[in-house]
Amino acid sequence: MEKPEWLTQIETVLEVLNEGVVVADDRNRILFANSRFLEMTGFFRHELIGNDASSFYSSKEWASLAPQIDIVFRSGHNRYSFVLPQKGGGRLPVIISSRMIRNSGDQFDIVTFTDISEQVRAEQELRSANLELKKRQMEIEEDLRLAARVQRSLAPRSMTWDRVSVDSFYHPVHSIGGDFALVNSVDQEQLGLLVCDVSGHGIGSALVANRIYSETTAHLQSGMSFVDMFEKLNRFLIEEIDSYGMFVTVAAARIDAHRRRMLFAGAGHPPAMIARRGQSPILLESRSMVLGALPDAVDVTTSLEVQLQPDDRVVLYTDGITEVFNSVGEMLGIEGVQEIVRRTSSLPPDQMKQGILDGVNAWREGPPTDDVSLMLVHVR
Amino acid sequence: MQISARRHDKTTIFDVSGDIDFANSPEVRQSVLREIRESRTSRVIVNLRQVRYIDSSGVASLIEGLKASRDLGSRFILIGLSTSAREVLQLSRLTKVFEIYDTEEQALAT
Repeated sequence: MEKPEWLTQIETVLEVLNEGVVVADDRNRILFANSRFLEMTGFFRHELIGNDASSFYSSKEWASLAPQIDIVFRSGHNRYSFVLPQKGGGRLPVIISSRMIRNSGDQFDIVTFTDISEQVRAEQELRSANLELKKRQMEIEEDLRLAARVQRSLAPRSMTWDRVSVDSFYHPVHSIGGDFALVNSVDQEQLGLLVCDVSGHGIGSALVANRIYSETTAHLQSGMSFVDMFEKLNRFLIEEIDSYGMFVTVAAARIDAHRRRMLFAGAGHPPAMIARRGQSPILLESRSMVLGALPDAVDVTTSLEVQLQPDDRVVLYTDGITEVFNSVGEMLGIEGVQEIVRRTSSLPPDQMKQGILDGVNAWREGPPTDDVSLMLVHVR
Repeated sequence: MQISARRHDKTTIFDVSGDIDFANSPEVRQSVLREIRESRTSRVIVNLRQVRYIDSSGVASLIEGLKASRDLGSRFILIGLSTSAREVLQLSRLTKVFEIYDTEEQALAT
């Protein structure tokens, strides 16, 4: 087919476009290609003009492209992404925009090619970065699963001796958290207990919690006084950790089950409770402030001695139990927990523990937002 | 949570509203510490009247403000504590280290 008159008239305009332009007839023979198209493909003009477009593609590529060209001749236009063959055998990713025109009974396809290799490269880089991120995320999740298992292994299990039993519950708000509890038994009569809450959640808090776990286990075993233990922890946190927002609250107790004597000390921690059947629980308040914030945190009178009675239950917990809000924004608080403990104090210890958790859950609107630890010690 | 600052003579007053929790306590900390260190006002008042709840990380931000103020010899005052915010500070035994007043007028009069 000879070059039609109208094409000769617009060639100059097509030549200066920034996009590659090809004009083909209804048998896909190339009648015109502008300089930008030659630049994109690397072909000389004489290698293109008069040739069938399909000859530049592989048969597989043409099988995909031909239906798109048919759409142009059927509906008048089409736009899709494909590749443009290059002289060296390369393939340039492009957006193809086609429009069919009729002139003197003949049909022509005016096709523009927009180079999108930069976008495709960026998308490939993004896909590759996403894959790398997913891989890293899986590694981190695996590490966190291991860390969570390690932390769960530190949680005290329910234990029963002749004169005393311990029931405990631990639930981190994230996979790992900053709460921990420990039970240290010298023998069946002497029990060391500790509940600790490291501020914040997640990896940092969990690492500090694990470090403090080791420190306090050793201190409890050695028989160190609570004043000295708190002083050591406070210094350790200020001097060694020295991190914004990282402080801990602690409730610690030593119980002599034979004599039913308990030595208790708290540092910035919600009050421990001694529950007696049907009575409002007795509160054991912290005398020292949170540890790790200020050098003068520990009160020298921090320890108090309590005479326990048969069937007393000592309730130790973290603020995930008290700082819980209902649907109208009211905090459960100490008074609320005290009431739940009173209500459940006649139940067997394991049911009492569950009763406390159920009472807290009933108050809370939505899922927990803080780590929750609860330890219930029953002195027979 | 929202925080804004206003100045009154040599005092900076922060008005905070919403909960101060793990998600937004860094913003409180940053605002308060910048003001204490850069403006060096002799008194910083944090108005917590519109704050329902402060969690342990919020408490940590206030402690940071207190420590920075102490370092520079200025005062760090809390006003308008809600019942739950006061309970959190009381349980932490921190009410004895913070200067706490009910109203702005009381804080400014001291």
